[in-house]
Amino acid sequence: MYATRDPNERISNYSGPYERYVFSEELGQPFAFPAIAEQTSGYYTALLEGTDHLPEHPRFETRLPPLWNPMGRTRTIVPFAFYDKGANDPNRRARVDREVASLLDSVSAESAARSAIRPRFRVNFPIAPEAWTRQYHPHCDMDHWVVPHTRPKAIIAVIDDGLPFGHRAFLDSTGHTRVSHIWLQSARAHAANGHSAVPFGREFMNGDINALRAAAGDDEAAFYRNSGAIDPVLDELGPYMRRAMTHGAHVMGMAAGNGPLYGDAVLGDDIQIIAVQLPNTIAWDTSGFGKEMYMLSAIHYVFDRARAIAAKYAADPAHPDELPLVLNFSYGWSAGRHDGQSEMELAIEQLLSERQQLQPETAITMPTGNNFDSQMHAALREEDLSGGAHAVGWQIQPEDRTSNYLEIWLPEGVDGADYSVTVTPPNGFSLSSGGAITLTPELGHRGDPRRFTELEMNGQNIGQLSADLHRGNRWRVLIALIPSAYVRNQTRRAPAGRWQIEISRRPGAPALPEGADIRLWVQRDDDPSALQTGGRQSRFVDLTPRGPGHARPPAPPYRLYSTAIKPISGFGSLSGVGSAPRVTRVAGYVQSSGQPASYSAAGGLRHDIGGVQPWGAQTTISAVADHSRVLRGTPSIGCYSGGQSRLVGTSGATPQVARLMVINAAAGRSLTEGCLPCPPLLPQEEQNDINNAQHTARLGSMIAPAIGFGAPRARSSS
Amino acid sequence: MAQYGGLGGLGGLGGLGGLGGLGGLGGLGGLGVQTGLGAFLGAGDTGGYSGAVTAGLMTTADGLRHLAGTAVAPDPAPLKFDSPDNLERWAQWVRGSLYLSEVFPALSFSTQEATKSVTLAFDGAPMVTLTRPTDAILGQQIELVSNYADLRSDRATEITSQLGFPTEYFAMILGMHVGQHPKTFELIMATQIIAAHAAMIVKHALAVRRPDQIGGRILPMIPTPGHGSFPSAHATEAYTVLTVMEALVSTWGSLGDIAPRLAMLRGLAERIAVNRTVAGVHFPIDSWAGAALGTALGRAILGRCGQAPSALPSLSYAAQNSDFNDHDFAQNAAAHGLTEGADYTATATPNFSWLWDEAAGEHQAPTGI
Repeated sequence: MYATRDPNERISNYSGPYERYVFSEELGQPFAFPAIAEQTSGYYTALLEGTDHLPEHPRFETRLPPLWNPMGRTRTIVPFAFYDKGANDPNRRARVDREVASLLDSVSAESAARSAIRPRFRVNFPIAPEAWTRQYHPHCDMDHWVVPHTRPKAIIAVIDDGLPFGHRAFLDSTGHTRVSHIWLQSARAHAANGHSAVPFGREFMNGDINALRAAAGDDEAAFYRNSGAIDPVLDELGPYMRRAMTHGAHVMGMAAGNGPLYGDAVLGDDIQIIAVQLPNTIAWDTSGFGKEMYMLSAIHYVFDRARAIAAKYAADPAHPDELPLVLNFSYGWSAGRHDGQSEMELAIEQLLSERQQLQPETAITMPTGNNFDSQMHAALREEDLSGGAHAVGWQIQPEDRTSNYLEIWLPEGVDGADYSVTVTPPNGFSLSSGGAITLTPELGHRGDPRRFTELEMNGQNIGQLSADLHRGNRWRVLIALIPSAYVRNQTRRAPAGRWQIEISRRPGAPALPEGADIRLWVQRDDDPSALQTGGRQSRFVDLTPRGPGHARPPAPPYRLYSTAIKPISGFGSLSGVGSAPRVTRVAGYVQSSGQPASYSAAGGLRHDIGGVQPWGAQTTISAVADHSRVLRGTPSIGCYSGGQSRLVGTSGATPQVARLMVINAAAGRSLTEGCLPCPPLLPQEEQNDINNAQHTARLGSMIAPAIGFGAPRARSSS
Repeated sequence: MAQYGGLGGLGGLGGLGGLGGLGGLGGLGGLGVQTGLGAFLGAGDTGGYSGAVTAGLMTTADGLRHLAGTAVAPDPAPLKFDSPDNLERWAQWVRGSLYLSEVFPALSFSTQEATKSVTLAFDGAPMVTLTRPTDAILGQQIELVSNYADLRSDRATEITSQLGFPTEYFAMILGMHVGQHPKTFELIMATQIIAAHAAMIVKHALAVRRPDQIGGRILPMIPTPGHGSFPSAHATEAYTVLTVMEALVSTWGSLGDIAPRLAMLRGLAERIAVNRTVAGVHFPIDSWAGAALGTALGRAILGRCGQAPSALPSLSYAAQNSDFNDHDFAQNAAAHGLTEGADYTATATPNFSWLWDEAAGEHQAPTGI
């Protein structure tokens, strides 16, 4: 059951399926990220689409973060933050979904009155109240910035968690920091001189960092405490930076650090660093939906501060020549459109495109992801639908303490009215209500045309089944299931086991367009940063009956590539946020063999009579993800000077490409100079089109040389 | 059984073994958690032979005794009476008893019901006053303890290897070796035992519940010891050792990089204390109280060694809801409720002075020049 709300309190009237599920008490809210589940904040992040004019309403204080827009273009997607001034009234215990709905009601009415375009909103994660500054003004006055002793020729930027920005690896040859700017998005608000140029969290410039380093002496823990990066009472920070290593330490070191770990691939003093530390627990939510404002405002911040640096050297500070910039963003999620048209991908593409017009040497490096062999992507082809319907298995693991999400995407342009989806729980369970949906709109007055249903078992909601015409042009079905373990005092859970997802087509409906498939992804649901989420990864299962010989082990020799692209395949497992055409997508290879790491995600391939064809965005380049099949991962700095980290995955490979690119940029070379051709197939692999296609989809067209110990040296900037 | 255990030997201290949670003490005897150094300190104890060896010795003696003839035994050359010169002869655990006997008679404690505080005096003068934290502060500290659990996977091995006295960790920083620094190890061990006892006295009086008995989310990763939470004995021991070793290393004068080593020593004392919070058995304010107690005790021990600093200010701690770190302890103590008062004194005693001189001679400077 989904309780009846007043029309202006129905989140479904204003927002998409993830928001409705995550913010509604009857659905996923009790299982969501703690700040949402416990309703502890009236401060939210959000995205606005279709207009770049922020709505005004007396109940809400809204803020735009620093936005980079030198050419004054209309922004397709605008990140913003808002504060519900009524949220702290102890007498008003409103439900989160109703709060958000009434906000969207007022702002969308206001926007609609002003604009012919119907705006869309996405409400993201909350902001800790302590992080909300009272003295925000987006103008960056550079007062705390000191001129580096060497004029910058290029900028390396890193967006990640747990950043060791006081580490000695980031000092220049005179002992001053190369970190020009850093924004700690979830730190306690701090207004230097009564002015904060970031809307929440705090910002440091190189002058601040040098002073903090001097004050703390060699005691780096004191540096992080004094800078607010360690804050024992803020959930988002806590003692995270007292860990020996973090994801961000590895990545920032690999992209921008100097020291013995990185061999002679040295970043000169002419390369400045800009960094943004996301909320350290950003990996908590497994759907990705709630992080977009943090991520997008981080990219804008990097571009904006890079321009501010350039302005310091410009004859006309209002029109500086943008510096070469390489931004590493080792982050992603699994599901999504994978066609470059998600909100994040559109925003990234627009920013990259505009900046490349001003400065061609601009790149964003992102990982392909680590899901290649996780059975998290499936395809339904026209031949599968010949009987009118096709089912795929969805294996939900027991004792999963977080929600699971599965997305089904019809090809763009396909009429949803011809299709329906049925969800069947594992053997022995049945739904008491819901479980079937047609892809036809029920709502759509504001936002995308869409329809929501609940999955009920014994009268209790165990999930949500929805269909929406995403951004008005592509049908998506989202299945959201609550945890399979009883958690947070809830008396409901979804049964673990093999769920069946059946997709049916109306008889007589047109076939799928030539070369297009229906595509399915499950969202990531693991816990790579050991945040104790309790997530356990679900996966697809091929329900096609197999012949009697299927259990035979493959005959030697071991082959990396198969003779057919199967319906459930890693080809198409590429990150759901990495399909913007101009993004540099980095896969991981094993240094000892030159072959792809087993988990390294790949671009899409489909196999039909005409052979194997790529679809969608593809891997651009590979870098070392593992030293060998035995010695996995790559070494980088830990959180503290003198410590080491080791990270397995494409997240650690990606910044190696960023490093190579920025060294090249500072030296005036093309960004990928020094990269090597893709290694040949292993001798036991046949030289044929299908193997070559798989090889390219996994490794890209070239590989970056290994960095550091035992590696063939990348060329340094000197 | 006592003869099988070195510290069982410390012995008359007897009850110590029973203190269990003093962990390392059990370990010292080779009976509990073994820390390597425990084996070293117990090495002075002969224990007993196996039954076969004893029987063999008896039959051998019977077979050989006739060869010794019947002459009267010569007059013995007497050992010096009541002299430190004899200390080297005794087993280490015996010296342990002597060191403790030079400190414990000087330690006394009194409690103040009105302020719920306890004062530990040395040679009759107040040395440390610790006030029982309020229930409200303990409740607030629970959140800090919970947050520190994030570091458990990072530090599990370290924490479980520090259930006893973490002497190896000090040795690592100072380049110590059992063959080259036997008396330095002995000084550290005596220091830790004294610190542990003093902490137990105060813990008993203040009787503060452990975090896991206040907040159900704490779920400690190691056994919660059978004594009160405030002050932390690990913090007390670590800061006592830190205080004594800072002085000894400076006396050595042989390490070319004293400053960074001392910085690491301070970092280690902090880390040992914080690890107990990570494990879920101590509040951060327990570390504050322990660090204060340990620092004052360390100075008293230096006094017994004839190395007293010129001023021995007494310390008083009344907890606020503070996180613990060494920087605040060393630089901003007053802001967190730790204040200095009138001086106390600690005069030199012969056995500790002997031990100090021996340990001070274990520097790594070239010899024979």
